Parts: sequence; C-alpha cells; structure tokens
Amino acid sequence: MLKRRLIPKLQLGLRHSFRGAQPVLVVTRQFGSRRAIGDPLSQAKIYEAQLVDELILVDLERTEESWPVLLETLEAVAEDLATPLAVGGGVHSFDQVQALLDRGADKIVLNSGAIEQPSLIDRVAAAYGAQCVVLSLDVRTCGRGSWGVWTKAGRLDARRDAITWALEAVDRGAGEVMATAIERDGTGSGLDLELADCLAKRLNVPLTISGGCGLADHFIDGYKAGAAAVAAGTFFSQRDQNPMQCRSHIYNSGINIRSSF
Amino acid sequence: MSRPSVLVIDSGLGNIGSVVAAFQRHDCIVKRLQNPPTHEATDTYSHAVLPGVGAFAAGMDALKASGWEDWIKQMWCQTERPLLGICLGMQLLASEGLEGATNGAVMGLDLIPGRVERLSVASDLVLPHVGWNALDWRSPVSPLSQGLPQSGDMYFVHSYAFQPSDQAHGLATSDYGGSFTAVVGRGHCYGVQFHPEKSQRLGRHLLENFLALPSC
Repeated sequence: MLKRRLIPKLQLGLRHSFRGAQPVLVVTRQFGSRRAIGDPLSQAKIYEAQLVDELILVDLERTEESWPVLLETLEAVAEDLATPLAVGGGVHSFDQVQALLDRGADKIVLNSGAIEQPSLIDRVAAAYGAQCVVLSLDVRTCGRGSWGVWTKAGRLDARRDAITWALEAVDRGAGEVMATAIERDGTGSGLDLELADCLAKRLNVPLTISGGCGLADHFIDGYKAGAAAVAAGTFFSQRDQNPMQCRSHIYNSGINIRSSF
Repeated sequence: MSRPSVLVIDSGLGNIGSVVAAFQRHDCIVKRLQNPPTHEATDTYSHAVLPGVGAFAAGMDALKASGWEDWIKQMWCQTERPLLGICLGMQLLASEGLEGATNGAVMGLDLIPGRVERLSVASDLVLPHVGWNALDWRSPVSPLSQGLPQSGDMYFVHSYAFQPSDQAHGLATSDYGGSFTAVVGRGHCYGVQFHPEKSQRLGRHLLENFLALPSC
C-alpha cells in the first residue's frame, strides 16, 4: 500500500560573503522573521540519511540574485541525493521550470506564478505531466471553513478563495497540492486540521499540509485529517527532533508510513 | 572483472540527469548519449539504461526519431548485454501501450510481450500513483533482487502499468488499489516501474545488482 509521506522543507535565504551570495538554510515564523540554521547541502544529506520521503527546496528570496543560487544549490543536492525533490520559490515562467528540471528537480512548486498566470500550470502539466506540478497555497483563515490565498511569500492578498483556487489548479493539471497556514508557520501550535480535512475531501490529488508542526503528534493529526504528506521546516531544525524519531512515533501510532529500517 | 561501463540513453524524455548522477555514485563509467553509438563504440559499453518519464506514444516517437529504437532492437540486444528500463523506459519494453495513442494502441519495443494500460483504481484513490510503496518479489529470486528485503519501499510516480502476457516475465509486484507489475525481466532485458535513482538505499542496492549482472 502507498505510504504517507514525511517531508522536511529546505528554505533558502542568502548570505553575503567575500565569495558573493551564498545559500543559507533558514526557518521562518508566520512567514516573517527568519533564523539561519545551516548549510542547505549538508542538511539535505543529513535528511536523506534520516530517510525522509521527499524534500521541498524553496527559495524565499525570489530575486534575480537568488535565482542562480537556487539553481546551483539544487544541482549540488540532486547530484548527491537519491531522494525526490520538489523545488520552487519565484517560479513565473516555463523557462524557469525547464531550468529547474534540467538541474534535477522532480516536481515544480508553483505559487504566485500560477496565480498571476494560471495557464503556466496547463503548460507545465502538458509538457511534463501532472505529477510534475505541485500547486502551493499559502493561506490565512477568513472566517470558519474559509481560507484566502496570499502570494508574494504571504505578503499580498490574492483575493482568491483557497478551495476554489485549488480545484481550478487541479483542473488545469496540478498533480499535487501543498497548503500552508501562514499564521501557524513556525509557531509549533499544530496544523490547520480543518483546512486539511476540507481540501482532502474536495481534491482528487494528493494533499501536503504544512505550517504549525511542533510535536510528532501533529503529523499524525495531519494524516488522520486526510493529508497524503505533512511538511515541516522549523520542527526538524529543533535539536531534540529528527525525522527518524518522528517517523517511529507516526509508525507506532498505526499510520501507514515507511518504517526506518 | 573490469568496471562496468554504462550507457544512459538520452532521447529527451525527462529527468535523465538524476539517473546519470545515481550511476556516478557507483563504481562504474557513465556516459549519457543523445544519439546511438556506432557498432564499434557500442562494444565499449557493458550495460545500457533507458530512463524516461511521460506518455508512451511520445516516448516511442522520440526513440524512433533519434534512431534509438533500431539501435536497441538490432544492435544492443544482439550483444546479449543487460538493459534496464526505468519508469517510462520500462513501459516502452512492452509490445504496445495505450497512453497518448490516438486510436487503439501504439507499438512498443516489444522486447517483453505485454501491454501498458492505465492503472484501474477505485474512485477513492488518486492518480498518478505518487510516493513510496512496497515491492514484493516473486520467487524464484531474480539476480536483480539479490539482498533486497521483501516489501522494501521504492519511490513510484506513474498512472499506467505494464501487464506482461507471460506471468513469468513479471518479477515483482506492488499494490495500489490492486496488484500491478513493478519489475519485468526477460533474458537480458529488465524494467522497473519505480525510480531506483530516487529510492535512496534500496534503489542504490538495486542499481548495484544491475551493474553486477554479467556482461559478455
């Protein structure tokens, strides 16, 4: 049977040194304050050794300066790792998608780029298949059972209903949906289970839920709410947490997940 | 035995780079070629790999246009050296496939008799089948499965699956709303539906087994 997935997020920031702009791994709180936690490539290798099911590599800067750094980081990670890679952050064009795939991305994460130009989803799915397109939704609650989509790293209200937009994106060819609750990001207060439940019921593609994991139990809650995968950034950066312990805890609770032996 | 020399067939069918990188982590020589090598050059390779993602019909068109179809069938198979198809590359080993065909089925490489059809799953399961799933090897044990655990997880991404005409050519199965063939093998030709290059330790082990297959 198909296993549920546990996915660390690798979020890239930039650090300026005499060698120019260097990638640095960061975690965020409510998409705002950033904390540098290390080197992306060495952390990616550690995660692979800890048997994560997949990695999400996202460029938080999304600038002309950070784009080549993202490509270089991806290339180095893809060369060393045998783990599926979903990559995104500031992807707005088909050329960018091709550049990422050329350097070893297995899936492309589309967010603001898809809102601005929804046909980008159709184009990428037609060229590389639905499995290649992950629609990323960053949402804020707007009343019970309703969520609004925010773009530009959570700063701009897209004035779109999250569920409606997710359904449209899947219709256009997105093969997976990843939803992140902005207000919960980095807080450790738990996933938005109502959001997970609502999306999982409406979508006919796998759902990844993220934002708010602070305990291994929060992952279990996410899977029980219907998510095929749970992604976390801050959670795995805490010294007393690692994907293997978290996985054992999930496995022991009876969730169908790869066991770490 | 000298180091294996691996030819990775690049007919433009998706993420070939990851397959090349995976073999580079093994003790072998890896060469990625966009056009079929000459008879003499072919002799320098001990193993060939046919990777690919995408639709069956488009995959066959690409193999025909670049001359790889003739090379695989007429040159490589004569050498009796190992060939490994990965994902779409595995499916293309079949006699025919339905994905992307405008009417009826599209002819495949026909190295392993069978047909590639859409996975039939209940409405509560989503397609494509994406993620880690258990691989169950059939007995007798294949050289490809040496040392691999029964029900070890591999990484899959696909909507169509290979249905071999002769069950003896199905070496392993996996289960997604029903059992489907995940590994095929006939003579020196092998195919895996999952991505060993993305399946971490067990995928690495399977590629090591492939490289250990004898090559004359």
